[in-house]
Amino acid sequence: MIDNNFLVFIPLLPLLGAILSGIFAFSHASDEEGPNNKIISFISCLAPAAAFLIASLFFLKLQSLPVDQRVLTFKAYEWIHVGNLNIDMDFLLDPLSSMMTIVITFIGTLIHIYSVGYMAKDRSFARYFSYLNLFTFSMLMLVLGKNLPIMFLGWEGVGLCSYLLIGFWFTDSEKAIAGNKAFITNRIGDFGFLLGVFLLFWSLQDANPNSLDFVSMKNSISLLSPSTITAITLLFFIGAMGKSAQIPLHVWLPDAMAGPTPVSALIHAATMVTAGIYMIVRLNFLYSLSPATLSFIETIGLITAFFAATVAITQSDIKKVLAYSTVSQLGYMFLAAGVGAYSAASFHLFTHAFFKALLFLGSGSVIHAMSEEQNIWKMGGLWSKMKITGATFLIGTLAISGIPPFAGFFSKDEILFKVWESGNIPFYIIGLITSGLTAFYMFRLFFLVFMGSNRNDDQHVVDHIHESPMSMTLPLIILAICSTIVGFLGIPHLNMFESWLEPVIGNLPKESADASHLMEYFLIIDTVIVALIGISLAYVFYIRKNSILEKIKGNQTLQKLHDFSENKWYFDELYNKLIIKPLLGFSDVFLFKFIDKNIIDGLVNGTAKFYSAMSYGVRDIQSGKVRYYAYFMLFGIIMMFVYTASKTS
Amino acid sequence: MNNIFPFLPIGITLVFAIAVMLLEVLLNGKKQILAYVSLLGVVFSAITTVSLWARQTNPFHLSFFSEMFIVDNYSLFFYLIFLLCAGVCILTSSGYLIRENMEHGEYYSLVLFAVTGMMLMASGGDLLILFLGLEIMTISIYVLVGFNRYNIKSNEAVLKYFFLGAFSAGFILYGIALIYGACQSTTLSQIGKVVRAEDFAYAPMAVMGILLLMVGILFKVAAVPFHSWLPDVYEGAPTPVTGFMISAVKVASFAFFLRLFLISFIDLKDSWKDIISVIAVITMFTGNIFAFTQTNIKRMLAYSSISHTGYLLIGIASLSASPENHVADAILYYLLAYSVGSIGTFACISYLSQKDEEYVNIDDYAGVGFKYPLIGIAMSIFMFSLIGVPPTGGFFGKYYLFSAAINQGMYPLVLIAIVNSMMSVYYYLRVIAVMYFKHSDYKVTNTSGKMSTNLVLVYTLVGTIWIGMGTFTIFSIVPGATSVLEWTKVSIESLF
Repeated sequence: MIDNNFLVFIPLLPLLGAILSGIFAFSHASDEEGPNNKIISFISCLAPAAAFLIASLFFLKLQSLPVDQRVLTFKAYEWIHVGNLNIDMDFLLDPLSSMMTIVITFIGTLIHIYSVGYMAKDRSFARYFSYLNLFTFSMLMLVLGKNLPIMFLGWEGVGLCSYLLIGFWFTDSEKAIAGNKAFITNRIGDFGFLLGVFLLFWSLQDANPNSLDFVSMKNSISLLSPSTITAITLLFFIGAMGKSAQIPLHVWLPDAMAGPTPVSALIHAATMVTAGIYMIVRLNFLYSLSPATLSFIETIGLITAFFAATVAITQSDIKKVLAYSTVSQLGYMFLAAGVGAYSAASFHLFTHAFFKALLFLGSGSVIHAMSEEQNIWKMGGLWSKMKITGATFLIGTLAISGIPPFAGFFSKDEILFKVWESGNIPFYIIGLITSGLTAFYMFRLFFLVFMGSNRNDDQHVVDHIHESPMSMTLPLIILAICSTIVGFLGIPHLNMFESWLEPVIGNLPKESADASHLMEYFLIIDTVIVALIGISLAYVFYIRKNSILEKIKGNQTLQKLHDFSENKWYFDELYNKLIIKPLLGFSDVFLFKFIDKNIIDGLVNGTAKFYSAMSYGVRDIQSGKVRYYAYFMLFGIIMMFVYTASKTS
Repeated sequence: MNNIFPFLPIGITLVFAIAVMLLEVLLNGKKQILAYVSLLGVVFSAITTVSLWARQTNPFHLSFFSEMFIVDNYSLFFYLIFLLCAGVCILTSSGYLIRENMEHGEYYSLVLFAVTGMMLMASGGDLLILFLGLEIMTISIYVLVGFNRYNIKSNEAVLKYFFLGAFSAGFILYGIALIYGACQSTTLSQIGKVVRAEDFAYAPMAVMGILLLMVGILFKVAAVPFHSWLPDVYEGAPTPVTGFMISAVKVASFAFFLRLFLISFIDLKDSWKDIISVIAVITMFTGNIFAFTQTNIKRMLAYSSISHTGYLLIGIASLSASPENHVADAILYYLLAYSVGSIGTFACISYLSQKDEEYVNIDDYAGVGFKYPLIGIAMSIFMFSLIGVPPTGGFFGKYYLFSAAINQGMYPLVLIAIVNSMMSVYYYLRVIAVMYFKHSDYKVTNTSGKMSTNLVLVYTLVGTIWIGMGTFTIFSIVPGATSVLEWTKVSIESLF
């Protein structure tokens, strides 16, 4: 069986790929042609593919072990040993991180392959793949780290890479700004995360050794008081809000569409946004001890899910719709985590990774065919010209809408069931409505893009519509198959997924009476019906011609609601008015013009001027005359003797 | 064979020094070959040094001729620094000498003689041997400084150096005489024993001797107020010789200083600790303040080397009798990092300067970073090392030295040293800023052979970074990488 040492290769290979492509990119930076695309695509697709292979071998190894021994660790080297703080480059593979590594490397590999076709004509091909590999590396570090600092390393790494990739076409200032927005918003979250780490470190100072690693943390948890746990978990959750785009830190994710489409797929599906969920599931032993935090998470998750769904209804950019659908689905995951259903949250993360990657890559294929057009009102009737993209996109849409037997159905249903089980009926109802909204806006998207006739004025573009190359459609097909079947891993009452994660999450209370079985079946039918209603509404609105739509446009209140939704509940404007403007004013007038220009510059330049003046003043002492030099020496000697004599007498 | 082996490093250097001198007579014209012969001598000597280290169980301590000549890890550590500096000096010189029309074989021979003297200074177990080594080194250096006979600055430099050097040699001899009078011995360990004894009656006399001896050594390491020769000499000497002086000569003087004070005078520490501390403070400030306004890069580095002496004197002031507190090994580490960084800098300068030492002003370096990328990068990294920016060797040198001093309770001194380090950033960074941010018509051109340039630069660059990186435990995967620190520790342990 595979040796534990190989654990280090899972993140190492993408890192090597990143470095190699980086060297290529760097050495050919000034060439017209750029480096050889074939070599780069080979290297950088091979790296995550090989990592996937290793991850799968580890998965098999883990499976062959008895349930209670499913923890593999490997210490690469000692990193920081200061006082009683011992942090090592430790890797941990347990069922949870194994699941995550497989998702990341598998979907990551597909996205890499897809990108070969998508980015073929870009001059910065090598730079792109270097970042992409680095992204994969960071995410793998995040999930494989055995302690918080290593997790934080990956956490910051994905933040950095998302900035690099969102602003990939940085010559376009709007895209560069989107990159900044993502980075800054994430920094706010990271600040919370860091404070959490510090607080945890500080309150565990009596634990010896204080390695901040998950296993020893679990054992020394009794040292923490309940209020400290609440504070720590809340701070960590702020970090999760940033990474996983929860209200109020969700604003970066829709703008992250500025990056190349495969990057959006990577960010939204397998990496980055799942980091927050992963962190909460990883630290479930902490979160479970703080009901206050859990109910806060639950609320935020629900609000986000509902808010994003309402925004998605009116967006006209294909990627924006998908972006808000991601925000909404992430809200579902936090909702699940908030009611303590960590397994349901992870399961939704797992299935969502497949169908969201599928949808994004599909939209990339559409955009590619439409000559970079992203407005869905200028699309339509693509079904006949792009059969593969259309069919796979439909599967993705069905999956996210929660139609059986596609993957999203099982996971979303489980979440709603757990919310019901927790007894919070209003939350359940809002969740259900959101699920209906999801079906509505996804099918609105599908109908507008693939059905009807094309609404683009540019005949040239319309004629040019074509199916994408093999390297792009193949990942779509694979992902479509996965989106269809992975849901069966979590069939209610036979839940393989849940039992796989059991060593990490611990035993959940066994399901009670048959009454709840019945209830569950009822709820399943419930969700399916709501989803079907959403789909039929979309059908009525967008296929059966738009008489209803016209009526809505006439109505004043409805129009206002529409604007409210289309402008994303005015979050950006609110932030601009409340935070950014005052902050800019403060930093310009006070910090820059007063503090920096006068005080800091004055201090720095003043010191330099002071010493320069001093230096000019004394430089004549060095006269160049030997006799003076000898006098200096003599003076020194005399002083030495005088001092010694005065001390002894 | 076993008896002769410990003498091989110094013996080979001496034999090659004489051989080069003789060959010079036999050879007509082709002086280039002498550079290679002397380089061969350096390499052989280095090989024997390394194998000597490797053959013994470390730490080891061999003494000969009733403790007059000592071969231990301490001396071998210094041998290696000297040989490294000599090698770099010879490599940079061959191009330089051709350019300045002064290609004479005795140059190389004098470098090797100087190395022989330095080795005696690192190995001497007796005051007389130490003085002998000092003089052998100094006289060779006098000639090297004035080697460019037709250059008036070179002549001026050698005269000043000679006068003041003779002056200071007198102090050393008086000091030795007084110490002999007080202790009835010139052997270091014997002096140490006498001084340590409860009934030592001649303490005042010994202290006077120490003070006089100290003056001589402080002159050699250029501590204020015994420093004034240094900027003039460093400016006037041929650039490779300056490089050799700033590194090897200074290191040799510290080798002398450290052994003498650790073995013999440590028990009289109260009598010299305060003086050294005060001198350290004055030296740091003087070096840094004067360096601020220098326009000539050689002079600027000369003053900066004075400030480095100041930092090292903090180490001397915080020495103590037991090797456990690691002050002495920190000094060794600092010396290694400092010598590699500064000899590399001077290699860069001698490549860039033109005939008759033109273009050695800092402003002449405008655009060098783009015209000669390797020299630009190397120079920048050496500057960073001299400032003490991680992960270069200079950073760890300062780190170990200052933290060891703090452990000895020298808070005010270390604080002053840190303020001074911050000041030094200004003039070091100016070089980098000029090289990269000032554009010009590229006045300077590299006249030396590309091979030797690259060899020397890569060699010193790798050294600078490796000395720094080697201390990270991460790099313990690389064989021998953490050993720099180990070496210094073993070297100091072998002293006792």
